[in-house]
Amino acid sequence: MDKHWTDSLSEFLDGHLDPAERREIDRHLETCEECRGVLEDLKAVVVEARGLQDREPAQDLWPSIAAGLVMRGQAAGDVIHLEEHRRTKAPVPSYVRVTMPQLAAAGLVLMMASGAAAWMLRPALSDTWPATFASPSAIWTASRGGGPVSPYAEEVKVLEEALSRLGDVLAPSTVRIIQKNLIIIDQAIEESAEALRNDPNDEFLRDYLDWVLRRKVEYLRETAAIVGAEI
Amino acid sequence: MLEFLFVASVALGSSADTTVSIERGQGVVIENFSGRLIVRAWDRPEVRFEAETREEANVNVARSARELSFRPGRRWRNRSVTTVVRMPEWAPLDIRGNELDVEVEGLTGGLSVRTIEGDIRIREVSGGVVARSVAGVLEVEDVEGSLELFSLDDDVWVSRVRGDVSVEVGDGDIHLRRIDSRNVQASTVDGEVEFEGVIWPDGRYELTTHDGDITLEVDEAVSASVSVSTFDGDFTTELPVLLSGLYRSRELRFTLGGGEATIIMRAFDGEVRLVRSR
Amino acid sequence: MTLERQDVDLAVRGDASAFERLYKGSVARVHSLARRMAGDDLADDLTQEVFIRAWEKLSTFRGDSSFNTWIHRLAVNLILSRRETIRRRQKRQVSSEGVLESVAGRRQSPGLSVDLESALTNLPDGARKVFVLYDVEGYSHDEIAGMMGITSGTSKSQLHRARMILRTHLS
Repeated sequence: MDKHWTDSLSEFLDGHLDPAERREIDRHLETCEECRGVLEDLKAVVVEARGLQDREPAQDLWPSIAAGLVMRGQAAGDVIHLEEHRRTKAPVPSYVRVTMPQLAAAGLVLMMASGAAAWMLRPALSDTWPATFASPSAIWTASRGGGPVSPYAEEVKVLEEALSRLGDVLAPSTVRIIQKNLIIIDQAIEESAEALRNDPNDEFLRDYLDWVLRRKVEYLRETAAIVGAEI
Repeated sequence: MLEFLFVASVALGSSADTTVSIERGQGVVIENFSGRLIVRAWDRPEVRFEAETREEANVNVARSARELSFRPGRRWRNRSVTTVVRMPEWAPLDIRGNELDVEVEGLTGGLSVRTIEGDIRIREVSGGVVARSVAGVLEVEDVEGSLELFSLDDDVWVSRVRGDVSVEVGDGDIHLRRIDSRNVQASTVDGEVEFEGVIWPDGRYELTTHDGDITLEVDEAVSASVSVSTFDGDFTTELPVLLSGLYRSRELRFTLGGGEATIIMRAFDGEVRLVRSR
Repeated sequence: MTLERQDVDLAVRGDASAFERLYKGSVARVHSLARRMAGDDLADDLTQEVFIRAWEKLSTFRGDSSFNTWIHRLAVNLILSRRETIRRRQKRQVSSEGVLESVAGRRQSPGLSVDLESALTNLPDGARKVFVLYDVEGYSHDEIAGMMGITSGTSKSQLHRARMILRTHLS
């Protein structure tokens, strides 16, 4: 299956392609039975999705909702003191939550303590901190539209070919599972690459993309070993 | 090289049953069966291979200086059969299956299991464990020695392990409970990662997920330098932590106690939680 | 003034039985949304939370859309914000292969939509959310991108990913 074509079929189906792209797909569909089959399948999925019927919950949820309304109704009218809060055993957050963007915006050395204990600020960690990722083993590029070029592309190709040679030998369910996971890892790669395109100088994202690309190689290598693919 | 090959044709009523002797220094290989394979230790220097099948089936046994191997005979074909194997605990075991659920208990000589589709359950095994499955749940309990797991498409559950732990999953969760290890590596692309166990001062603990949450449950007295990174998610902590700042725009570093062990947690799209052990 | 609008006004003033009528008219839609986006075992809790939240925020409902549309949007936002709960997957109860088999086994039966509902549980979280919002609920990619904090390109590729996976389940 040619990914280049199949990847565009959803957008084709949804009418999101420009006229030129649309004509190109139309022309391709005239000659490619496989893509026509995929398109039909995608249509069937969409039709099913639109036809889904809503269902009531199996049990009546109203009594517990009503109980929740009364409780909050009272709370809204009162000032709740901490002691009362404890008595009523209402959940009190026992943790501190930080979002990365908050920290990035603050750009500060912060101290958090979930208890009342006082904590001393310390100097930043020494430079001996281990690298959290191995540095990228090769230069890769992530140009807009071109997609990431993995330094592992050659190895991935060899492994994918070895697996596809077993396509007829493996159970269809195994093939589906492997395909599904390749879609998932490719999606992870695409998400990481997109994040990096939007923030090309971010070291974390650069290292992370390399990590995800290496995962794909690992998965293929492990899977090939399990199914006994000859490389 | 095979010293000799014999066919144990075993059609004993309702089961295929054969017993062969084994010497120290030899390992056991069980290959190409489908169905369910149960392996238990016993104290005899013999391997008993017992298949529950109503039809006539045979198993080929080959012996070399280094191993004793069991493969389905011609009449076995691809039948899905439950097989029980008893063997000495000291013999290393290597299992390779297609659609095979595997349960192994009580071995000390090391274990390697590879199945394409099937769940793998391992209990009370030492001497090094490697288990790999394309699609299957991996459950491991009470293991001493190194542990290396891979599942492309299902969850991994590990508890009570002493030794290095390496777990890699494609689409599935990783649960590590009551781990006593100085070297832990766990990663999944689509799933949660959970770790609870001892953090050794000279240990290194690395947990990663692309799309999912990470929960690290540690004792309050832990001494570790921690790195948390997430592209699109939050970090929550129940323990008092001392942030030494944002090392990079998406990475936080802080110390717990004396800062001895190394803990690295990465969730591209997910929340990282540090939880006090209960 | 419509009956629905009257019930909203009564509920804002604290009339729980008016709110119950609103609940009855919209619970199937909210519960189905929660079930599809977060799974069976979380749908009840999420539905309760949506209605309790709606009760609290009812005074902000200005009536430029129907109550159903308003609570639906509120439900989508709440479910998306519960990412940690949504991630709890149902894999332990039903292995993915089990779902594939049961889906394939029911292929000939008239209840295809039930097949799609169970196949949804096999999708990765992000793809599942986008699929439900786009193909089932009819949101646009731009709207989904805004609600989920992703780009509309990601929304499109997640949708395609979901459809491609579902296709293997349904065929």
